[in-house]
Amino acid sequence: MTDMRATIPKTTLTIATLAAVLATPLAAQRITNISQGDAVRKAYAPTVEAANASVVTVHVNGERRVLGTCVGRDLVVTKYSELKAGDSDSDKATELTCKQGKLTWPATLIGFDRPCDLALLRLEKAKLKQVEWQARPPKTGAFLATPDGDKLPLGVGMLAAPPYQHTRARAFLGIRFANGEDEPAKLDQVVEHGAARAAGLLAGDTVVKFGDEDISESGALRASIGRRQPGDKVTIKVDRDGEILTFEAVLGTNNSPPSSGQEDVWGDLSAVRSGFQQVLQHDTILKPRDCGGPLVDLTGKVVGVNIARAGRVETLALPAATVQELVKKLLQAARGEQR
Amino acid sequence: MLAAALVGQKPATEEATRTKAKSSATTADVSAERLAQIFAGDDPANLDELRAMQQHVQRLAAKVLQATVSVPGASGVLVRRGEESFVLCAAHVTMLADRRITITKSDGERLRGTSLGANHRSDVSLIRVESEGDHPAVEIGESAKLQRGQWVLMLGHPSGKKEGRDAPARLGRVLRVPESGYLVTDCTMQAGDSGGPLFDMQGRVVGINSRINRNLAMNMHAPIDALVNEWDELLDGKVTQSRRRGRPRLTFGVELTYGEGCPVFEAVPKDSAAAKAGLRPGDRLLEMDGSEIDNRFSVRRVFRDFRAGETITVVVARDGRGIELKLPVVEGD
Repeated sequence: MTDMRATIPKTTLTIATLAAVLATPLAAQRITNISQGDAVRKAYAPTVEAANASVVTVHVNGERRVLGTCVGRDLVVTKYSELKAGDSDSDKATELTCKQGKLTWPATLIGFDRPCDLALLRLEKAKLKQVEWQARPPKTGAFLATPDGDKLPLGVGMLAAPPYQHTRARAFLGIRFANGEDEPAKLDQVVEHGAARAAGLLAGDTVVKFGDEDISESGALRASIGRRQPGDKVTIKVDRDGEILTFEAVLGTNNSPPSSGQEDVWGDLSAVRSGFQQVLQHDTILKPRDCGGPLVDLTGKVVGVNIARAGRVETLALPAATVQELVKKLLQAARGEQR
Repeated sequence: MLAAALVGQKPATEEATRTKAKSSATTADVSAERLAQIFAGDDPANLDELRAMQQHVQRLAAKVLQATVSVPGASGVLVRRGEESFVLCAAHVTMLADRRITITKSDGERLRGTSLGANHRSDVSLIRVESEGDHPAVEIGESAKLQRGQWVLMLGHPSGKKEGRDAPARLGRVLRVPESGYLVTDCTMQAGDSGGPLFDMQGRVVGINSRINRNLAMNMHAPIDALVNEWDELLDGKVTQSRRRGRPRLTFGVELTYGEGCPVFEAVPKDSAAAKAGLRPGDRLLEMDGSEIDNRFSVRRVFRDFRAGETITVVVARDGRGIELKLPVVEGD
């Protein structure tokens, strides 16, 4: 087992006592993280100067959610799953805005990539400075800073490992079955933002054909999905109240994080914290709301976009190359839709 | 240049002024003396100094990675004594002697190992490497020489070894130097890192990852001296249990009241040993031996590592300030 000897009991501190304890001078003397503390962050100030012009805060119905990274004069990428309106009601109208200093722009979601959890926003009449990308991927031990527009970086840390494949890519359709393995592939749920919902499938539909394969039971559909790759385009035929309908779905990937059983001592984590392919893992202690913004190296260039607070020791960023490719892809798709 | 200009704006401290003078004299270079001074506990003052630190840390991380291994669900580090290779590990990982343990090197090669002794009090243990070959190894340092604020590098496999991912490296500083008990740093740590190495900036292993605190940036390592001092016993396969069973209950000789938040010493008789050590009624217990305290279980856990007659360094909150005291341990009822 990956059990730490420390078995930390459930919290008994009330917020009030915790605040009282942290407010004491003691906090400054002993419980601050001195390697990522103010004094060290001061030395990093020049690294965030340039990137600060390319950071915005992203607001949903007036509420500040995450940071955003400017990838064009009116284009911002951010963390897609943090843009939901309410708890799970995805159909509720959302008003997106981005802010930088005293400026505010209305924003429109023009595309998203679910596996990378990256959204592309267009800001009305914005003339922002695009980030300067670092062409070379950083090496283990690279010193990194996360800007948020302030003179000092929001956080500083170090690249923990070379870029690696975070999640084994498994194709997901985003459905839950109403029946057992041997019974018809009737859908009980069509998961929010999943591939099936995007294609137009509804709860209650029964899948009868997946690509070239006839589907007579849930188990067969599950196996067929398992043989595919994320991103595959598949023609799906469903029986909806006796009528056979045809849909085109682009398969997604798994975004549900594995459970460790120790999350209660992991601090605040992003709701979506896996499913990514290539990631940069660094040890900067950030909050989920600090994601979406750029990650810079000591030259001030952007090596990636922070995409998730994923564990007690890990903040994950999408590498610069991944973000640039995705932006290109999402822009092409958005132009295609307009035509 | 940028860095020098930034420091120039704020020559508030002697430190900054000195650094400015130095960086303008040697442009982008930071002297070896200054770098050593930073790693010994100074804050880097500017970008040049950060670059110098980064360069050193990157080389070091690449080197020590070779000797950092994974054992099932946890971590360890390879060292050599004479002709033999060993893995330094944590007692709560190997648990017992004579267990077969598969060791996976950073390049993926698997080695056969057998657990030797383990000390569950200090949480250190040893594994003998049975597979022959010229395995990578790191030097062993001295934890007694560590200083508060000193920079350290930690490796391990958080959540276990992950295919395609090198053992993540983390940078931190020493928060507490042990007189007894644990070494505390702000390197981030997670289950799976246990048994993994903590290095000084010369790449010598000075600690073994042991346990976490509620605070993300306050984690505990067994000081390496605890392992070195017991090398022969561990080699003999001696397993020392923690002092948990059949022992009298230990206390500070005064009552501790548990409620919401940190426990409180409500009554501290004037003639008690605790009062003589500086404890006052109303003091709230925040830390014991470097561990954060939030309930009776965390208090008991720390007492486990001590015996009557010893003292425990504690931090109490009084009038909004943190006060460090050394309280004597007595047998309670």
